[in-house]
Amino acid sequence: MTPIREMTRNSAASGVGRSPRLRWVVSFAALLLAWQAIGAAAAAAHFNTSSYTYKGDCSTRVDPVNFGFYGPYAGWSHTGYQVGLHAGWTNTSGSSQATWSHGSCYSMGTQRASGGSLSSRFHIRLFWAGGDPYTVGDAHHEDFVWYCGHAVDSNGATGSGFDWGRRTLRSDFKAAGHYTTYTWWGNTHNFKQCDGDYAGSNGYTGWAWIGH
Amino acid sequence: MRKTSTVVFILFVVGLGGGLASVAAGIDLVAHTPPQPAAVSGNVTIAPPPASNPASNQASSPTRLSCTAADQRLNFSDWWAGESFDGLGVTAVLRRCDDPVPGDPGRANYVSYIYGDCHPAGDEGCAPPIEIQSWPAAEVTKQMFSSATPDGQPRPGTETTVGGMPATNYDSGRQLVIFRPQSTVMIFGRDPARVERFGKKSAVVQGPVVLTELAQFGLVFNRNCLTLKSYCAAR
Repeated sequence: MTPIREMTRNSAASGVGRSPRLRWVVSFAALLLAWQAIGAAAAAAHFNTSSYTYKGDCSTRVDPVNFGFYGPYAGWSHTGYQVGLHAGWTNTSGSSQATWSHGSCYSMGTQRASGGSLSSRFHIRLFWAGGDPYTVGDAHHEDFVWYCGHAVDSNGATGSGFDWGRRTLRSDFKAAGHYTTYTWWGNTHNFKQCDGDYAGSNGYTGWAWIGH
Repeated sequence: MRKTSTVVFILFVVGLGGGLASVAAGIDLVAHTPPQPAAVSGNVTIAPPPASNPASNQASSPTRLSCTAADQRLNFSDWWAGESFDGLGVTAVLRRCDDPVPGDPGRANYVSYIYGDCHPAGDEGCAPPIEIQSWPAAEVTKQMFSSATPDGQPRPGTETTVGGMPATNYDSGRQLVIFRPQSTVMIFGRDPARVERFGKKSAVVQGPVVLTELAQFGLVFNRNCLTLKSYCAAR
């Protein structure tokens, strides 16, 4: 067995670790590398999302984000299961969208609806919003319009289809024993629907804790 | 020479690290498959919720003004950029003031001027190029923007001033919120530079006190909803 001291001497002779300055430089660079990796991981872990959903290429906005799920089991797949379980929205048809999180464009994880593509229905698309984990979505009620497809209910006396969707989902999760609450995002931009009417959120985001 | 190569080496390693870290964080413009926790664990960093639902909602319920119809005098000031600006004309005016709904923390109450048009596809709405909304200051306060999540994580924003009024940029400049004494004005758009231009313009152009006066610009409210206090649109 080669003594440790001998190994060190041999290493020095072969040129590895020849310069204390070089060793310091390598250590410093490794430290910076580790710091950057930790920073990236930490950034990806925390909550971060656009307050709107986008077309699949993240080019233009489509819907307001109006619901968030948080807690140890709030990954988008399990959240989709919970939405089906508590709200009865089990249909998975609908167009795909995307949104921004941590500076990157992510496709939606999944979607759930209370009916098929050719019916008026409640609908939500679910998106990853941080590794803690967080999932967000665009809960809404949409009418099936025979000449153009789905149109979110326009603004009216009790709000829009976005407000109706959020209210219904929050009520269903609360009834199932989940902790629910609201925060204000102010994402009230109106969206023109295929029937020509406008629909926008009232700016509040509903939240449900997914603890199981 | 040795010092130079040392510096080059550091830059290479740090640059490589930055690139790897960026890839790890997913910073590019391609739509990624969303991450999914490999295995659920109890090792979360977010604060758990209270043991039971609160009697009232966490989002504070703001003071509510009475709703006014399009043919009535507004009880807050509304702001716009005139009948056309920056190559965009007004294509719709919305007066929205929701009835209170039990369990809801608040409601929408605003006058909206929509500039330009967009073309929705079936199953997907579209965002008009610019929208200027004026809300009563009592119903949308700066404090309301402070918490994005139930555990208090803030919504990132950049403080600024517009026309001497305090303002905040959100969504990388795609939403500008101007806090006026009587109104909170929110400008939404795709292009941050255009949002800023509309913000500056709308800071000095007050809209009509009675919205039906917009008829002089060819913006006529639907007669069927003219007297409704909840929602009516002019085109």
